[in-house]
Amino acid sequence: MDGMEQNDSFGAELCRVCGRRYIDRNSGNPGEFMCRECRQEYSKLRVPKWLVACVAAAVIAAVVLCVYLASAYRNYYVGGRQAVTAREDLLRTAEKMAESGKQWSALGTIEEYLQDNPTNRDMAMEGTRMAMKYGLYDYAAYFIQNYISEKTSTRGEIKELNGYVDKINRYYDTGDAIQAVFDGLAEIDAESMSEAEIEQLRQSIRDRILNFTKDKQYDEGLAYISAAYYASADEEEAKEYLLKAADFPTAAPEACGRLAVYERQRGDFSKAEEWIKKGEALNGENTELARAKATILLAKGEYEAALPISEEIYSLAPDYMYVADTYAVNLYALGMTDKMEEIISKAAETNYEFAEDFYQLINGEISVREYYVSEEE
Amino acid sequence: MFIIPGFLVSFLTFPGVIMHELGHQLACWICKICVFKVKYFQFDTKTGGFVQHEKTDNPWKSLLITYGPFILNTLLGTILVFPVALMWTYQSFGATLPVWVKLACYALAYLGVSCLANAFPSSGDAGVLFTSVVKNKAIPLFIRVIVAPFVGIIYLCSLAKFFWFDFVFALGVPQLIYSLISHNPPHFWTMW
Repeated sequence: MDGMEQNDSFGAELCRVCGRRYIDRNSGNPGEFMCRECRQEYSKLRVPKWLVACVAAAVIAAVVLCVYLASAYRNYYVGGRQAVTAREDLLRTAEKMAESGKQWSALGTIEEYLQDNPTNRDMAMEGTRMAMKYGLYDYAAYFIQNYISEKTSTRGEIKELNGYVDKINRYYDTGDAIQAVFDGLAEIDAESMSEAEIEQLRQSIRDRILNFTKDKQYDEGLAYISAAYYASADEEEAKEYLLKAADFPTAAPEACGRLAVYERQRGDFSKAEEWIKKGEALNGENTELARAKATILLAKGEYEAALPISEEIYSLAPDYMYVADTYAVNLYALGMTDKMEEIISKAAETNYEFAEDFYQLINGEISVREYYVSEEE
Repeated sequence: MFIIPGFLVSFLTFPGVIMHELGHQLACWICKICVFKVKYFQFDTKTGGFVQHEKTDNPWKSLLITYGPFILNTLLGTILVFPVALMWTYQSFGATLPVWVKLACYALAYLGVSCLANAFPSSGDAGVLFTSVVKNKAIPLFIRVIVAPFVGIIYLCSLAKFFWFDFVFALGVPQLIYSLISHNPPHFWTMW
């Protein structure tokens, strides 16, 4: 019949989907309920075009991005290998500089590199480690703050950095606490005080500073060196604190410099040089240490050898304690009196005060050795 | 536990819901099972989408249809989150990328995470598999025993969804890829 499906079995049921054709009993499915056409129609994959387009677009975008990132990574890797080589070279140079006593210059080299390559976290980490090793916490804080982000650090690095940050915070907290002690002195009129009162005040300041050494919140080295610097008039007592400070990287170079000066004053140059050597291992460019080295050479009569050192520290820190004295003495010892007068005039402009015996020296009343070695006076 | 209504999660991750239904549909097509109606996504509080298809007594087909979304969504989701994992790897070396690349990576990551979060078959899917295979005595026992754990897994995952398991999985996949490529431990939330 026209318009009717031919069916093998008489009296067969109509397709339950279209209701127009007979159920396909030859499909092989005993539970069949559709005609062949309906089965063919509903077995087709009918996915809307917009969906196919969206999925295809997303997959293509993902593939394109992966290719882009992979090629960017390859370029970065090739360029990175060269950069890594350059970085490794620079790091080796910096390490050699640091080992030869030029720790500040070494860190300065790393700082320059980081200014040109601010995203180089590895170099920033190396710089931080070096700064922490030599007790140059200002540099470490600078590297961490400017070049290291927690986001790009591994867990191990974050743990390491947290340890550094704790130490740096202790260092700055100690500086602030000591400063607070000295700020309290500004209101005291020392001229109206008797010697006993001054001594009592000195002891109280010293004790307050020494209290910081008992508290784990503070940096012991900084507290000991401050106690030796500001609170102790007795040289033996100062030496005791300096010896303790020499065990801490934050204060060791300065403490070694002071201890070298102490030994030089007693005429023991070999001991003084030992302290210089020990200090140079941590920071050979420390002003106090370099000045101590120059004065030892001057006391030994090696004026030419002392000149580049005294010149350098004067160019870097002309107002630092005894720096202008050392340079002027060096110039006097070499007979460069015009230049010495120039230094004295410049010092007068900044209210820098030379030691009393400095004038005795330039007036020819004492020798350079006598100026630097007390015991022989 | 911080609870957000399921339909809201479905709305937010609607691309994944669409892919979930497409997963069922594709599995039906592979198994030559007729599909009568497909709703890829709807604003409904009960179900985000559905696929109406004919029943089958073939346990393997049932299993494939139930697990179709898991296969498709996991595959597609992994492809779509791959760029963001590569981006993290690239950034972990300290390199910087153009903003458009980052935005594109995160846009694809949204689609990928949506797919991954909707990869797991629903408890409704598990119910269908349970009824059509595990409870069906016409199917040989050893096949029912094999299929039963698959049903159990779906129910377990449905329970774990209470603890945001679907999102842990969705956000964990890109982190895993990142860890495998870069050999760095995953950073979890900080990376996003």
